[in-house]
Amino acid sequence: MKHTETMKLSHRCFTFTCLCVAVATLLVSPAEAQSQTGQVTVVDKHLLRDGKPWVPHGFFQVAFAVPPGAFNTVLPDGQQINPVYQIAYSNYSPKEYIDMRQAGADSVRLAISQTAVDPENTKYFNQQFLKTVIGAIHAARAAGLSVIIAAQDESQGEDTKSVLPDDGTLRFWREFAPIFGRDAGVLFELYNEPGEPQDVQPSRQQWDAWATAMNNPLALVRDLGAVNVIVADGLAYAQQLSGALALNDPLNQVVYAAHPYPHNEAGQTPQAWDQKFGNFAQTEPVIITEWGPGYYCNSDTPQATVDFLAYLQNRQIGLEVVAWDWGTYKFASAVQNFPNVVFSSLLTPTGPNACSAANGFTPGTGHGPGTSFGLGQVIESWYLTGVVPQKPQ
Amino acid sequence: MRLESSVLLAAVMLSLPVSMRADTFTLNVNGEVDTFTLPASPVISNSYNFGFTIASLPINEGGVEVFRQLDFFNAATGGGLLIDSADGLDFNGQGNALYKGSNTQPTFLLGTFDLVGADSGVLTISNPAVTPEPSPVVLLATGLLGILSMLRRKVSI
Repeated sequence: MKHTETMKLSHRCFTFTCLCVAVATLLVSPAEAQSQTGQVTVVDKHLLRDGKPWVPHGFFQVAFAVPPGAFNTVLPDGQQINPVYQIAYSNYSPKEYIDMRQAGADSVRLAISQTAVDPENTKYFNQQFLKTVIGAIHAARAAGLSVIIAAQDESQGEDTKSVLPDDGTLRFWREFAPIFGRDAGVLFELYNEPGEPQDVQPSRQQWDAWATAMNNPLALVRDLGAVNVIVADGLAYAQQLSGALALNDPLNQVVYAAHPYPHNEAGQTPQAWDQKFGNFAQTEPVIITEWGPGYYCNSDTPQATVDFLAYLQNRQIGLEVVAWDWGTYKFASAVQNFPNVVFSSLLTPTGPNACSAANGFTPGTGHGPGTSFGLGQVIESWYLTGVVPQKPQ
Repeated sequence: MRLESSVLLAAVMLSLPVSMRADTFTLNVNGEVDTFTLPASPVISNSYNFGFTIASLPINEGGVEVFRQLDFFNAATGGGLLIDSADGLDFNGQGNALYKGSNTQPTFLLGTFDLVGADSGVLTISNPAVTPEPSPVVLLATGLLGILSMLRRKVSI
């Protein structure tokens, strides 16, 4: 009898404990489960997100593009580093990703300084920077965004930019692949803007060298167990994809990236878009991981800008637009006055904010950068409605 | 069922000292000090997947009371907080998580935390009442002994 009572009591205690555990489980934040949404894969050369066809619509974030050690320094060419990077970094907050979602974005591209996260770089490595970046990626994922990590090796943080991925690039991916290699919601853009800007028609030898160099970090991240989609920028600073070779990915999860900034009148026409990436995109998956009209502006630019967005829409090509956290309004940007995010307007060149002479642009000559030309309201409208405006707004 | 009720009551009583606790926050940014008070387990205005918001909290900014919105971020994102006014951010620092538990039911951590970012400062979250006094400990022990004795009596019936 006494034994039976003890058994009953034990049973009751066990039931009660189970009840408590169940309640506690229900009370736990759903963040972990939700951070696993936005999983990206490549199936039959098409991007899928959570199993559905996906055309990325996101923002390019510059907060982490330059190592803090390079702020307020002078570049080898004598130019002061654009203060926009410091403004973006020092005002970074995880809440930005919630604002991006509200602006219709499903993804964000983080350009991350290679030198700042390379433990062997005695000049620029910064542990706090690395910690902040990792936190930012977690925040963006928790906000429901897919994330493109791009290894950024530019003159902003490196005395001489490497033409192709180098050992520093491998060390970069050794930092991120072990942390995010099992989250397919994070895409790995192996190396930002390889090649030389003047080589707009790369030779077969240049593409061979490109493929060999790109295959090194790709093999590394796969060896580290990463399952993520790989993003490979074309040559000529990602201006050119025509001629790009297949990479050796055992998981067949490669997409290609282009940065088709217009640098002249011809650069803002459908012919240029076809030649740079459009024809290539007919057979391979492509994302525009940077684009904005800031390097060039003339009277055709406002209409060419909305035409470009329609071009992407018609071909189901994704866009990570420049830029979310551009602190000033001197380069064409989706947002002005960061951190007080205001979507810029896209006006005609006669308007007060387009091709502005006040910012160094000479109207009618197409000279840039320095044009005060915003595309934010058009972008926001497109991202939220899925419909590209037909005219500048 | 009486046993379950007793244990539940004990659990609720044990949690009371935390949920009723009011913590004092002292934020020192280059010698300028802001102070405010929040319950250890605050009633939040809004939560998201990596943090939560407390809207319209009175803050003493250098002797002047102002109302601000606060956002706290979880450990995975780097922690820290934002203090937001209508005309921009008053403070934006990360580097340390300031709470434990979920984003919907957080409990603040006590201690001193270095925060860095757009602003750098030192935040101290304190509450002298948290230091266990001898009398509450004796009271708690007595209660637990009571429950234990009740259990023993039930078993020996």
